[in-house]
Amino acid sequence: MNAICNELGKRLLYFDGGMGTLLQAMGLTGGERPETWNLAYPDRILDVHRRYLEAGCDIVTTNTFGATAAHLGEDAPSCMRAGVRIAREAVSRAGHGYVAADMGPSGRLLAPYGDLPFEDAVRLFEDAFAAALGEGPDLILIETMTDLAEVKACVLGAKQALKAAGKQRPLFVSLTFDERGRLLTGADIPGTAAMLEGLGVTAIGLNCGHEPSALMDNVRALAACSKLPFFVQPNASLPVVIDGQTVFPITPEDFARDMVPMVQLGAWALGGCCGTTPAHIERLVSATRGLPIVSRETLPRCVISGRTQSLPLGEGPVIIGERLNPTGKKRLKQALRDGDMDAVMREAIAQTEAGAHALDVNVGLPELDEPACLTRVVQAVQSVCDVPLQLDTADPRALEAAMRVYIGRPLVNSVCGKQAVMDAVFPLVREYGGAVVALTLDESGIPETVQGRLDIAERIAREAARYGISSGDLLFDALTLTVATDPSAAAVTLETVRELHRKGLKTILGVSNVSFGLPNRPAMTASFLSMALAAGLDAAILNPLEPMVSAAFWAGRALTGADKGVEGYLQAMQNLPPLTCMPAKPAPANVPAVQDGPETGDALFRAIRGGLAGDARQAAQALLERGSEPLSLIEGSVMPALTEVGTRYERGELFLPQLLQSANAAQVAFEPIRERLPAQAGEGAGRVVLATVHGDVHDIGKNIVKVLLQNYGFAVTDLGKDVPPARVLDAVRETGARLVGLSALMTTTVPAMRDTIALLKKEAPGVTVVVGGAVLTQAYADQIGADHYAPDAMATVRVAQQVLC
Amino acid sequence: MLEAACPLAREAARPRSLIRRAPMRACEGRLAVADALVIPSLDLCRLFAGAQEGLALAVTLGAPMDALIRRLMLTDPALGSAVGACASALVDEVIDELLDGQREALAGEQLRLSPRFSPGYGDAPLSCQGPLLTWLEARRIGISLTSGGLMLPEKSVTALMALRPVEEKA
Repeated sequence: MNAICNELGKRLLYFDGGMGTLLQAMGLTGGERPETWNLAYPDRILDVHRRYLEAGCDIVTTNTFGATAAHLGEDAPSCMRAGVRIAREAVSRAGHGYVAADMGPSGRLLAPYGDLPFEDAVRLFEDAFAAALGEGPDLILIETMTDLAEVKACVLGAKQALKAAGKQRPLFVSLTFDERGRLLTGADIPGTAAMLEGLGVTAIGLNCGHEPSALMDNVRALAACSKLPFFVQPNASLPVVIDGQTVFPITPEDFARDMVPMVQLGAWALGGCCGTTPAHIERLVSATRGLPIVSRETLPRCVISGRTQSLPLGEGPVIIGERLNPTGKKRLKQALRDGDMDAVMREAIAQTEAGAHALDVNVGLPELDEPACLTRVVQAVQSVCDVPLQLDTADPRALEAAMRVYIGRPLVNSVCGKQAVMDAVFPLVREYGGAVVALTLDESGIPETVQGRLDIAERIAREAARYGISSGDLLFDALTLTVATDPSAAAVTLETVRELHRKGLKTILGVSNVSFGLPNRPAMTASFLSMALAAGLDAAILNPLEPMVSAAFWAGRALTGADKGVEGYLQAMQNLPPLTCMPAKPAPANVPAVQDGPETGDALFRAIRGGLAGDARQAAQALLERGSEPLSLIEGSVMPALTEVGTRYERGELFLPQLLQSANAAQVAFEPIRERLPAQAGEGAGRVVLATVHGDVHDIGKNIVKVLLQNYGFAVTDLGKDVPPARVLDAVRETGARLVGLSALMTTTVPAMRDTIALLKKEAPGVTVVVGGAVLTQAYADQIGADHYAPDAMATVRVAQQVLC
Repeated sequence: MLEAACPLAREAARPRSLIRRAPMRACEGRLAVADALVIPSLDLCRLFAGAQEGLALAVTLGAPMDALIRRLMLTDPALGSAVGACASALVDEVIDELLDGQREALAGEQLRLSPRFSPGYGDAPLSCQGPLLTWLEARRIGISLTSGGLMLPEKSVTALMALRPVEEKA
């Protein structure tokens, strides 16, 4: 690619050391941004570079760690350009060296943990790198990254800037992991490395955080899991403050000595971070210059990763949860149409709690804007689930949008032998990284023979190789067909799995299809799954909430030797109900299934009043099976129980946890009731728009209000937290809601509440506003123009009843 | 409920802290913190009246705690609320432990600590949070600000404390 790439791996390369410590010694104050010195004191920066080059460093790092608009506003481009220019000048005067355009974190936390939208972060970094590239750096160094989402945004920003400038430069990316080998937002080393390899970076590094000896475990982990060149830039030690000054107590000699093992582990470039000085680099060069370069042998692995969890494929079968797919699921369809991400997230959590190692995400509904919807669902699911996702779409635009915002290395579902599909999908995989599901079908359909499917698999692997995607990153789907329509179908599928496995290729199957149209589907699906596992299946797309299928998976995993000490099986069985081959004894017709009392609805009433979710569902189901009318259960049991609990809460006889437990029990009981309700019933109580106001990220109170309102039959449009006034108004206009609930926890965000009310009163005068939150009082509510003040969640329900019923 | 919530909160917590001792002086309604920032606040000036230096701290329980609470609020709001409450108590516990250690060390210098005071309390503007976090290098422990000036992860605290000789009264 360029000179530095030619040298990488042929001799040890040396980065420089810390910049901030030296600038502080020259008079940089605590309130100044170091990058502003590129304009104010270019000679001082030039002098730092000179000292490092004289100490023997090969790569000088520009003084541009925070040179984005997030830190420097409109001065960012000029600080960046000056920083690269100064480093170029230093290298030119020294007659040797490379210039690394340096970039650190933005200082903002990206969604889903924070409030900086992913694509805004990409643009922020792209603008910074665009300024740098104008001055001709030799490489880009992204460093001290502690959040997987941000490092991805930064790499994409760099790639976009390079593409726009028509240039190619090596991308060195360095991260700061803690003593447990985790980034601050939780990602592990294998998952991070897998993502960065997929994004096509040149080298991965570890910097900051610790002194060399404390970094060793993380260096070993990185060396073992990544095939990319790696580099290490530790601190001089953990900083210690003495007399108000930050001090790094490790001497240059200690530092150099402790860096030697890094070379033996395979580091191809070394340098220093906070607290290191030209003296550290000089000793480092002397201590390591003659050491031989070590070429690592890493086993080819296929790793996918989510926000914090990585998952190796081909090292024991895994479950991919299938339930985030609207096909045949009325409620999920409705949730996707309504943008109800809570329902989507609950479905995702339920599957991971049931043992899914990864989740398939499909939002294929004809009336939806699939790129926007898939992106939204991926971000929502990643905000509550750590496992990797399988992005399941036939729309390349939707796939690209989702692959960009996805945090980690995804599994892409899917390509097939159709040339047009491979032409559309493989370039995206090359650009953003990922493992790929490869369906063994092509323009002629699904081959009936094993050989036919193997031929397509081979063709797909050949085509993938043209894009630099190895066959180890492909999971071949031998295609599960319905055994009811073709009795030999399953045998062909299983034999194809066996043959692919024999060739050392990985396989995946959506197993549920096999039993379509048959009675007692779980029995058929479970048997098929067991046979597929015996044939060498690596990944099963299934419903982890179906006990029989789930049990078959964990048993099959143990029986194929992939479950050491059958620990996975034992753990999974703790969460499953006992399975028996004997039919359960039917209850005599005249004996009620739940025997809590003679009155219809009594058991349900008691279960909700007592906050017993499991009992409440059981009671509701039993009553429905015995012919109770859904509406009579709501009116005769659910609402009276909630009313009693609410009244006792208001009297101070019950407390918030009990109120919420009853609400939860009512919600759980409501599920079977809702399924039997006539369409549109149950939404009659009216709609409420809820929001935590702009600038406030505290939403626990608002969420409690939401749960209670829903349980009293109100439809809720939840706008989340940090919601600008205009968005509240838009929601009122879109939904026609007559009541808006606003929440704020902090005194500093109450003005935003006042602004929201003012906007609503002006633009939607018919709307009633109820406010609540820790800092509010009736007097404050009056002062900011609210119609009602609710001191707690129950009071909000009373307001809603008064306004809407 | 609390028996279930507290272990969950403790398991999810990744407590990290930074503490910095520096010259801090109150003058004409403003508190000057080292050479890094000046905070206009009469309340802080009262706290630091006569003091020459102080401590600044930043503590967080980490991003995984926010994720746990968000997840529980979807699946079990009662437990989620209880974990949120436990986490808030846990931040205070972490700070108390940190300051106990500091007090012990300061006692050797015949110094004592004032109560702690956080940006956003009283008349201390929340807008000083950014410069304070930058000066503390709070990025090292993963604290950042939203566009509205609020800290993320949510279970994070910053505070300032005055240092005075033991015999001197505030």
